[in-house]
Amino acid sequence: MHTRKSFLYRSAEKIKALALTGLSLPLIIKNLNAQRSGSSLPELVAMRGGKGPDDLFSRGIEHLGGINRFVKRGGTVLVKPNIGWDRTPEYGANTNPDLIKAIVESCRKAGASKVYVFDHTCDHWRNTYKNSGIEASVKAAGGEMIPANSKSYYREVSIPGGVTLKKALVHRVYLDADTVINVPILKHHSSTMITASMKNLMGVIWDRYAWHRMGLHQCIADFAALRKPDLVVIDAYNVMTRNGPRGYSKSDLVEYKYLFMSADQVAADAAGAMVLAQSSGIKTPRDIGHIRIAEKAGLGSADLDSLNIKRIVI
Amino acid sequence: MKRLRLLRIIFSAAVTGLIAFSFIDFHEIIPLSLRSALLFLQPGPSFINFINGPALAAAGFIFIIGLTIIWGRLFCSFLCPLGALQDAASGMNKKRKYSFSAPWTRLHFGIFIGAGISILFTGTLLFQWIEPLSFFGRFAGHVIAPAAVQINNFTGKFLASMNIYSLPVINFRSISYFAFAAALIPIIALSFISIRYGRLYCNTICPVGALLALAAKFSFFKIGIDSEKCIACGKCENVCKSSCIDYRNHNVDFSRCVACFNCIDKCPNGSVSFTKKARSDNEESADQESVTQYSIFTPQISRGKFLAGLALLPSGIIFAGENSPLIYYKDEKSQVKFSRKDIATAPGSIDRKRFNSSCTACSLCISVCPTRVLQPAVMQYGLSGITQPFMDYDSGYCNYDCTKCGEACPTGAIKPLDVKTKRVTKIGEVHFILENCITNTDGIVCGACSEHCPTKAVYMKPFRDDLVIPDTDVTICIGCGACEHVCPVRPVRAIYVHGIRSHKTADLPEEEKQKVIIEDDFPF
Repeated sequence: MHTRKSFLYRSAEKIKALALTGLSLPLIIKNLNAQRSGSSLPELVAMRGGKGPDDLFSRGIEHLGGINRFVKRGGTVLVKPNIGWDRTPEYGANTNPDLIKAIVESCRKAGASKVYVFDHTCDHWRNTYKNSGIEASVKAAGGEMIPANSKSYYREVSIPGGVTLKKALVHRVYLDADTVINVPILKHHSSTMITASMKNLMGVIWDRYAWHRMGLHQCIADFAALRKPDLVVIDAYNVMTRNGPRGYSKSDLVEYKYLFMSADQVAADAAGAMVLAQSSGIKTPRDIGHIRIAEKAGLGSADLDSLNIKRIVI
Repeated sequence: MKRLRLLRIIFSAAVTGLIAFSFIDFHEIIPLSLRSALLFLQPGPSFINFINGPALAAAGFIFIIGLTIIWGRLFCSFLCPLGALQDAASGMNKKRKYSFSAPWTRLHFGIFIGAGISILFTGTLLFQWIEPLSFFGRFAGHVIAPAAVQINNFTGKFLASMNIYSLPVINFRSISYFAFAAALIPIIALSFISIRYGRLYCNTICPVGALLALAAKFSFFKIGIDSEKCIACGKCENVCKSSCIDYRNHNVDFSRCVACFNCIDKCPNGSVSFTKKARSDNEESADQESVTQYSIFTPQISRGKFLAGLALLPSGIIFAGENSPLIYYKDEKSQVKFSRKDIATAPGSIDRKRFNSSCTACSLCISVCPTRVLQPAVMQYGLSGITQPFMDYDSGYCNYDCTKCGEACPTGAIKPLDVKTKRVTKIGEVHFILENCITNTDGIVCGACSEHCPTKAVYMKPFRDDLVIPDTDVTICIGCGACEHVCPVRPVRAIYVHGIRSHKTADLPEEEKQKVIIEDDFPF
């Protein structure tokens, strides 16, 4: 029987369906495009050699479909390096400033309206921004270095599926940017064994010490589900293999000359873990708590043997 | 000649503005060289710096004495920020007519000698409260700066809400109520004195004023009244904030004159001048008899103006800082207690006793400290160090590569260190309390202390169940306080730093070569 009520119900259903299709259309097209440009797109690009991490990025990004795959014309981008420590670039405690410069530049070239860069630093933020060389790099490349030192920049969100971490105060720009590019530096870490991309996201939340007491690995993995970065670029050129994450001297570094790029943060971190495996007791990426938990939660794959990896040695 | 007053006002406003800004400069704008130059010319800190270690860089007060011998106490009106502040206060009372008064020479020199003797025996205990730069600095650093931070943060947060991030919010722990009061109350009292009595402070209490008064007795250039031209209108005397002009006798007590040039400006026919020649005729006859009859104050204070002036002081504004909620409360009974053996002093202060007796508590180091680990003491040092800076690890920790406090200190209480020396200057020693550590009590990974340790004096070692727990090597610890600051356990933390009274040199950590074979391929 067609009553007015049921008619309205069915109409509402149809409108909903239409709206959903409309909303997800760009996503579908994007997926189709990705498929057309070849299922040949690798899940992980692993690079080695070159003149520096910036050189490797410029040469390698094409293999992931180019920066335009990630950056929308007119959109906003957050490039999130690791700028935790008041140390100069040669100590390898922060992401290489030249790499940040290359990434910001390419985002601008791709038509990004704004490219933001920040980190909620461990040491005093102003010194850290300056002495890491990243502030100058970002300015030169046409990006905007923004502060993260005040609670007023953060917004509380609930973490979907969070086991330990249910809520977090997250930097607004991380939540609002159209594209997030996570650019950590690979380092040894005294508590979590490695720090790469997922650990680097501790720099977009306000109360990082809460994670220390709630259990780092579970919190890191929980948070990684909130918003998967669109692209992960791991600077593993000069790798701090001990005394991390701050490091003491240049003797803590090994010049491996690697750079890993992926849209899968778990895969990227797994590659990083295997680099540090050479100087530690790590055997497989799953030895790292947060990688193991994140993979189980379906955030990505740590199975380096079955991933489609493009290896490039320059 | 008449323009001298205008020149003085402009110059003094610029200098005072820059000095005040140096104490507020939370965006680190003012160049170090300019700030150092300004402070070099402040005789109070410069004198302390000189007796700490005679050097050209500490000879600013000699330069000012030389200047005074030529032109009189130009310093007091052109370079002294506290003088400018008093002028601003007394300027609110325009109707006030000053009249010549007898000098309180004995009291003034009594205080001067007393301050001198007290420096010999107790250091800056007394001196720090009356020395003009520190007097002013505390006001700028503990009263104006917090207000300015608050205005900055209000604006910054507003702009950030519109996605404009060009004005960053400044982190500050919270205002020290004690330092706030210790800075503000004397300034209010001083403003009161100035409104009623002009530059009475400068000629009765100020030790720099006393020193320069001595020098001004021998000045080549002096204010003089031409007795032949003078029409005895008394205007010069009425505008003399130092009450040192006796127009009836054409006499100027130049030792008290602060060279403000109001008298020259006011003189209707140019009979008051500032020259080598034009000395007053009766200069030598400044005897007490002839002056006392005029030494009656006729205060004409306008209460409304005074209150209006007080309102200008950002006195009513008290704020708290943004505390990040990282606290992890345990049952205090289950925790091991801790009592700090000693409070730590800034690197470069060498020895606590030396530091306490050389610091004039001007607050500049506290203002320039980027991490805010330097905080004004209440009774941490006892009576001799009230409002002097101490290392407050609850508030922040000392940045490994930072040498700003030593570069800023105008008295040499904190000696400037080069970065290399700073990195091994041991101001304290770490103390780990295993019983309070959450890795031990709760069986979870933390390691925040070791993460932040710049020398790896706090390192992680294997513990039960695949966990790692901190351990310490005190020989390489420099006492920066990073571990203590970041430890999330409360009310008693699991790691602390004991201060060391006499600073030492820490050992350098050993650097082993790494044996890593770099293959030509990828490890996966």
